[in-house]
Amino acid sequence: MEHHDNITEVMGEYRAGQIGRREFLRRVGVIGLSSLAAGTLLAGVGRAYAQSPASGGTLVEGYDRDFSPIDPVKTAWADPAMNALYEPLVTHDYDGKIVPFLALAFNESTERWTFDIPAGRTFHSGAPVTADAVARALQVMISPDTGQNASFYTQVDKIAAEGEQVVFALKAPKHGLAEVLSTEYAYIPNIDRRNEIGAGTFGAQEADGSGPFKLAEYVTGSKVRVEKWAEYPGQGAPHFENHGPARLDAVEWVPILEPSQRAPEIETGSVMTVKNPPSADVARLKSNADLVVIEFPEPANFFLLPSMKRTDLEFDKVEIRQALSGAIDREGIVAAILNGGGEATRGPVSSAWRFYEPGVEAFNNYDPEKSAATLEAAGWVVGSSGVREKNGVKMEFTAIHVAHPIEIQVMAAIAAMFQEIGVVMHVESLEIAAFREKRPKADMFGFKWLWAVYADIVPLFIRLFQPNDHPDVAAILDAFKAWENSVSDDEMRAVTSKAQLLAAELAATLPVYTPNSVWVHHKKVHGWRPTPYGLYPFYNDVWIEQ
Amino acid sequence: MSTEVATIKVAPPGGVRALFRGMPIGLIAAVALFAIAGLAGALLLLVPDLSKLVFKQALSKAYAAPFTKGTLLGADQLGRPLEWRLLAGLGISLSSAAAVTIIATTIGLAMGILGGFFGRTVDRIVTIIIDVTWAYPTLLLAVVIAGIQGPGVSTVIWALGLTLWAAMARIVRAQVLVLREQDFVLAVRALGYGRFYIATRHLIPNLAPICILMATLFVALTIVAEAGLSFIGLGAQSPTPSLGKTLAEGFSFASSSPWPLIFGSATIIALVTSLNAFGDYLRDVLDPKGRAVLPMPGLVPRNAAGRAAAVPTGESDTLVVDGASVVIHRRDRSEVTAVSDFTLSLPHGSTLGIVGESGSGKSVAARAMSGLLPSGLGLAAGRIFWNGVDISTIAADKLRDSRGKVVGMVFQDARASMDPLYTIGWQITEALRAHESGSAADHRKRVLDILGKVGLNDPAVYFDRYPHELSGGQMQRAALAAALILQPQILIADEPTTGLDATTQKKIVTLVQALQREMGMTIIWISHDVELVAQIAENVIVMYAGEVVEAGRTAEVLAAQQHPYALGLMKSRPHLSMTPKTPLRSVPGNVPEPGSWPSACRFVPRCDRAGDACSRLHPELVADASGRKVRCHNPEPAAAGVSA
Amino acid sequence: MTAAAPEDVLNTGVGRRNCPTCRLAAAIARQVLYSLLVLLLVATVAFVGLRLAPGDVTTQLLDPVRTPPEQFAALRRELGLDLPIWQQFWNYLAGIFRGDLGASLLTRESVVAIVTQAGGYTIALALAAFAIIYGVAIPLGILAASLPGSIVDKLINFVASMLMATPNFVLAILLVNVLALNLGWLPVAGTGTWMHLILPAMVLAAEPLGFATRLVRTSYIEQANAQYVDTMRLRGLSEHVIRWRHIMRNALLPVVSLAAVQVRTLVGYTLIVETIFRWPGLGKRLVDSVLTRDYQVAQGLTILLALVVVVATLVSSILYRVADPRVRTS
Repeated sequence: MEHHDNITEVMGEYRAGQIGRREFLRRVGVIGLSSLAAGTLLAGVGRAYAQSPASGGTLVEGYDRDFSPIDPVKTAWADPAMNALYEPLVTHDYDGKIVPFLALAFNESTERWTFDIPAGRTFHSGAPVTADAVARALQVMISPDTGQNASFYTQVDKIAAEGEQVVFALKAPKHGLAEVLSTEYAYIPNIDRRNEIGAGTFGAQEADGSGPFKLAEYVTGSKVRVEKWAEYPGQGAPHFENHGPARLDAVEWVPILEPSQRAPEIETGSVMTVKNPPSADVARLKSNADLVVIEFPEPANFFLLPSMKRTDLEFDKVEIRQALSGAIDREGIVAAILNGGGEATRGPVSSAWRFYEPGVEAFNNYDPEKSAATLEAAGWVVGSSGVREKNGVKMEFTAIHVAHPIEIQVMAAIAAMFQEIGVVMHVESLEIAAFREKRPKADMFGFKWLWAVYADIVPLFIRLFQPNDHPDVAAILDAFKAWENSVSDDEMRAVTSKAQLLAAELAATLPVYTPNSVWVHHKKVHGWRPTPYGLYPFYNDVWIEQ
Repeated sequence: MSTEVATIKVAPPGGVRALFRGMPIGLIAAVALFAIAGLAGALLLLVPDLSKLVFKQALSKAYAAPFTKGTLLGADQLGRPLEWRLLAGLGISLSSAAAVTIIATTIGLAMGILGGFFGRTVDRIVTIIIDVTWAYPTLLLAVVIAGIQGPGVSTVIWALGLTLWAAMARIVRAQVLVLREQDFVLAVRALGYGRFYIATRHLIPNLAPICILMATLFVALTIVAEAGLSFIGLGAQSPTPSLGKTLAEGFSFASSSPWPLIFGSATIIALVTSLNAFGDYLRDVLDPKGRAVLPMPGLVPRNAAGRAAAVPTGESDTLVVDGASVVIHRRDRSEVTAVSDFTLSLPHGSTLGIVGESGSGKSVAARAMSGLLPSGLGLAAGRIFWNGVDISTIAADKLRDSRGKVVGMVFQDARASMDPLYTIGWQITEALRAHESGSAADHRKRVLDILGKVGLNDPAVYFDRYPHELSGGQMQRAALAAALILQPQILIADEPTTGLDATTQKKIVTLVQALQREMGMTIIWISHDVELVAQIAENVIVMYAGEVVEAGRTAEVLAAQQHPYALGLMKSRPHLSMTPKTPLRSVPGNVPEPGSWPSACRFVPRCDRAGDACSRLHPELVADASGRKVRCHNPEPAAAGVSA
Repeated sequence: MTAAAPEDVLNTGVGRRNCPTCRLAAAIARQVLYSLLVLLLVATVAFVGLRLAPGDVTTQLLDPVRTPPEQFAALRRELGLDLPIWQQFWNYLAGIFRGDLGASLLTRESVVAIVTQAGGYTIALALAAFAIIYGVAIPLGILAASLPGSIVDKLINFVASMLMATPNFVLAILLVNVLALNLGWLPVAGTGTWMHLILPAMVLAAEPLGFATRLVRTSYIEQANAQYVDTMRLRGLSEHVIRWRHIMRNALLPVVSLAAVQVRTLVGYTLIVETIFRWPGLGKRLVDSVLTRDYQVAQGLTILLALVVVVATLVSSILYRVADPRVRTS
């Protein structure tokens, strides 16, 4: 624990303004933390300044995606404005621990979870936030007819209001439920208003939540603006510094879709924060005295999924999948394409997760000779055209993925690596609509999931694997099921470890890499703390030095 | 000069081959280099082993700088050597550009001919298809095609091909509308050939040059557009190394390594710039009107000081030309002589005819006398006197003021000598206003007066007409009015009646004679038509290959020619309907081009009387006692004359 | 790109000589009707074309990986995508005639509002680009044409060719780095002030600027070599008058046609510039709406783009009519 005390001490000094940022990094470096972890710490620590937090100002944020409707019930993607407009029942604190947020307190047991809803809260519109209102919002989300993420709640039997409490009755245990409830898709909207004006309209032209900001403007593809709700009656989460109305007057998001523009935009001050500048620009941004760069592994993983329906190519056989996996030089990809801004992955999750199983690193290692030998032994011999074939079938197929500047390069690199072992992979980079249409029938697809809550990965994968009755798939899904239904951290650690090892060994998915998520903010922006536990920071504490 | 140039609108059939003659070496080299590189690149993609070499996985070389790690131009983010990528990229980009061009040209040509040649209903349908295509956003087409078949090089090809044809079709249609009224098409139609036959055999060969010109534009356009579409992700897909893809990826990774972006841009820019230069060259050849010419030369001959200041005969004559030589300044800065040693002297009120074939230099000589040579021509030697004053000694301002007052000029193509955007009256008034002050009403009165004089009855109506609203005869009258408004002492008429019908021709001649009597002008009448000249001129000059070969009183020269060329010219008995291009029947061959004149007697190759001296010595213009001049070593015997 | 001579478009043939205004009005009326027909056809082609691409907006609203399939059918029903295609088309056409282009399938915003807003930004950008193109191309082209064959001429021609050859994103990265990042003269991206307009307008203007400069140069040289110029010199007109009153007016006629064609380029190809500079115009909205299969928005924007092209053609032919008597009275 001495180690921990040292950190606390250094953090205390930094917070009190006794040491600078550089000194802080040096000292935690001495203690033995990686700079990555130190950066995360630094972001979480916050710092006391001679002046007290100022009020007012508009925070302009450069967002790395296009906007989707800001509707927790039905949206293509959760945008950061969610964190300003709505509140979840629970959330993660800076240490990753679940803490109450909209709920005053919560109680977990295997069959019944309760959340205490505080009195006197309202939505922006003035409608009261009662246990009943919350329960009805959640009922819409868990119903398979209306909730797009209903599959995350299969263990939930029913949700009801009992006095001041929202009560979840469970059919089966789900320790990860609190994590699911902390995600953007479980933020609590005014469901009555949503029913009144209809989905689509709600979340774009209007939004009604209980968060400290109100939706002011939503312009598809161009701008989202929220403005301070001066009468915000909430408390925020316990770990927030500010427990009243927001300090900022407004927050504005602009999409900077061209990656190479992200660094220039923050360097010239047209935005105050920016997400995911290209890794090659990160060094330059770090050396800028006006900027702070926060970097940690994204809660994500890019993987390839070979369709086990392609039995002619023997993708249903584990040794063939392993051979393909062994042809991928993950470290090379991370070094060349990500400029080192990420890590190679060999199991289904990144090493940043608290239950990561290092044992997976025994699998999916780069060994093209072994891969070639395996294919040779399985009867796949190199034909006249340089392509392996067996029974007149060539080892040649098409992989699809969603067009993205980095992922296009990764797919091209993997295609070249496969070619080295005599396997031809054609790549089709598709727009998302076409990808979603074609994915179920694809020979292979590349996909990056990005989601802070690992518990949700289970239902996610069930629909990705085809067919579900293949023994390898069934084995992995069983292991995931156990992960999902675990009742405690300890049990979860044990079963996830098993599931990770199994998934890594069976290579039903070929894991490739986890990129870093890079957050840059101007030094005059305070209280802006992205963490690996949620997709975006909350805006309750943020203020701008005047 | 200008009349010939103006007639070249559509190159004659078979002109395609001629296009590449005289092309600058640098341009040939650049285009050839790109063509070879493109071919090599395309082959590279076809041979599996080579393509494997190109895309061989080599992450260890990623971001290599030029000349490091075994690369020439460096390597991209996946360690692929840039030189190979760019070469293959040229292959892909050029072959896709070729595909776009083929699609656009085929559809465009077919639709353009359909619209222009197959009747009004078909034309309406074609026009609306063209307009809808043109109004449909290319980007939307590209996104939809990419959605249907997946993005890729073929998306670029179809999206551009299915858009650009509309541009081609519009131009082809406009050309066909012109061509179908031309004699050769009308003739073939009169023979009963079908439209399809005429379209394939007669229209397409004539459309080839404009298609080639458009094609160079399409190729350049496709290459740049492919880069844009690849940048958006609709173009070539990894690992296809199209130029656009290399550039777009270079853009994404520019902060890691700028080389792909730099070399990729350089390749595209060099390629498109040479294609543009090639297109410019083609346009110059096909439509020389837009060709850049050298600056206006002065009228002061460079060797004026060196010449003896012998005052020519007839100092008081209205116009005296003393040994004038006119040269053409070529693009390569060399000079060729167009008119040499031209001397004449015209007393006040006289009429001189100048005859000769096209290219004999008669128009150039006339222009020298007018006091202003067209661009590209310069007076290399000799002097020109107006009323005894050497015009090279007159200050520029004063010379300008004298122009129009001393010399007025009318041309064969009267319409081309008027600005199409202003009314006849306005332009004549403008000339008047430039020289003389006076009230607007006064000017108007004078212009109406002169319009009446040239036979445009109801001058007030013609005053407000635009040049295109007048018939050929009316236009020539208007041009005469413009030339005469300042009451010049000399009127130079350069084939003013050629191209007009016989009746009109007669009327114009009579009009000019009447005006000469009324206004007392000196007239120089230039024509290839001997009979016409005989009607009006007292004296005549016969020119051949830039020099005077025979001169004398019209009646005498017509009665008996001493120069074999003059004899041939008379024998050919040109008709009033003859065009300047009609070859002489009795003198075989054509007038040699300036620059290819024989050094001795210039007529030798066509002369049946040529003797030994003729190919050794350049004959001088020799005058006999009566003042009759001939330039010949072996003149025709006097008896050989043909009576008129 | 070379434009069709506008006389094709306005060649109305008959007309009474004594009433030029009537003839102009009749020609314009006919042209407007024709333009409406073209727009209707464009709308039809867009309607069919969009539906040829796989997928629909439901996979944009819901992720098939995590959302039960039953919800897709319900959503399709809700958005009217389950109707037979001819019925959807009929509804759409009926809407057009009511002036109602429908609402975004994604955000339920009225398409008319989206089109108006994005169109406003695009038109501002296009106008700025236009000002740059012709403010620079005309003087440069004339300068080059006045000194044919000189170093200045060659330099201008070369720069114009370079501008035509440089892909706009390459130019964008160059200008952003130099003018915004290093010199700090202009904002990197975004909207708000007129300063924000300059960089995107410059990048957008580059290629057409190169083309226009070369056209002005060629056209000027062609006119300067025309016989009427020589004839005017022979009439003793001053160079000044000949150049500014006659050569210029004739030389700029093709530029009027070119401008109509370049409107299409400027409006239709703004996507890259809009993405890089975060300019909320219709190029990006169009591509976004196609990618998200937001049919109503894509159709609305297509009609707007076509409308701009058609109006530009119309305006240019009217201008041509006014400027060129040959078109006016033929």
